[in-house]
Amino acid sequence: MICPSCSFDNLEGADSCAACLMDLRALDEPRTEDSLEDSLMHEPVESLGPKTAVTVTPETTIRDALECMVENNIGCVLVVGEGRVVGIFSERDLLLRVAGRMDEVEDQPISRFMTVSPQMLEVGTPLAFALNRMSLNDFRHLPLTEGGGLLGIISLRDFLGLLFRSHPNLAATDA
Amino acid sequence: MDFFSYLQTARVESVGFRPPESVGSDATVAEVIDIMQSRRVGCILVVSSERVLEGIFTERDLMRKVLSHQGDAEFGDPIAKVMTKDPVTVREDETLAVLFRRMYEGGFRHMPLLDSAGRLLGTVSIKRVVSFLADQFPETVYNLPPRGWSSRKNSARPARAHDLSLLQL
Repeated sequence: MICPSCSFDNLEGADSCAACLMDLRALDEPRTEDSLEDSLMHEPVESLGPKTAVTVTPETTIRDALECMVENNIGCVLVVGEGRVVGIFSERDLLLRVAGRMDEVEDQPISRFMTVSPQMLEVGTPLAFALNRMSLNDFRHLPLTEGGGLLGIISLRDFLGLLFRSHPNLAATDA
Repeated sequence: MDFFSYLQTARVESVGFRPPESVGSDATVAEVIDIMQSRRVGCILVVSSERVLEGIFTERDLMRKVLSHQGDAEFGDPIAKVMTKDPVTVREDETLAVLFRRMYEGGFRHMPLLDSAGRLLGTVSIKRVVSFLADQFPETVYNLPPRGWSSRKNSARPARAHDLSLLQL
């Protein structure tokens, strides 16, 4: 931590400058230098405008789930049983677990192919935390809950939307 | 340089890309699915012998055109029948701002990256783009403590492309 007053190079996390005694604690607070960073730090995850999640039941067949995804033009469905989210089924699951043997598995329940107990976030969680989760875990989608109930779903693309919302002039760049 | 100026000047390669998984247009749908499964990639690029891009085949195409009853493709069909022809691309000498805008407006999860001569170089995915955005604000995104817990002891921050402000103080 460089002291802004006397330029002495202090240990990271020092409360005061070892050379001039200036109080350094305020400098340790998060500082934002960009409007996107500001949004990430201060806005809740639901400000991305989560889409309504399309849901199926654990007994729904692979065939029906697939046609449901096609009709809605979406990349994943949430699997809801007994009032709670028990799984998520995405295009990636379709590719890796279903694609080569559709004839064999199309009548089987989606519960055999879904990813069980997906991570979800409660509304009010900072956007930065949601971005952290998605980035580190390679999630494309993240369901949101409100009071434990399903509110909607966000996707990676929503963060590009956030970039354009926080930098409106970026959309005017010559392309 | 601030973040906004950086996005308008830095070239696409700053995001990083991966070499393309590609096939010729006579490959079958079954062969392409095999490659997507074994390499765990969401899209395959279809190219001519001179690395000229002819089309793209994605997980979405697989779902809509091959697996769905609404599609009419068979596993033995040539990929050329179901690929999206002449996909939207980005050139290596274009800026990050152009890449992001094209990707967002088109709703694309993958963008083929071409060299300045128009030949295929690689693929940029939305996953990589969003990780790039996260990486620009490491303190905010990666050191953010879980809610209800707030000690900021380890605040060592990696240098970032657009941030010299602390050193300039």
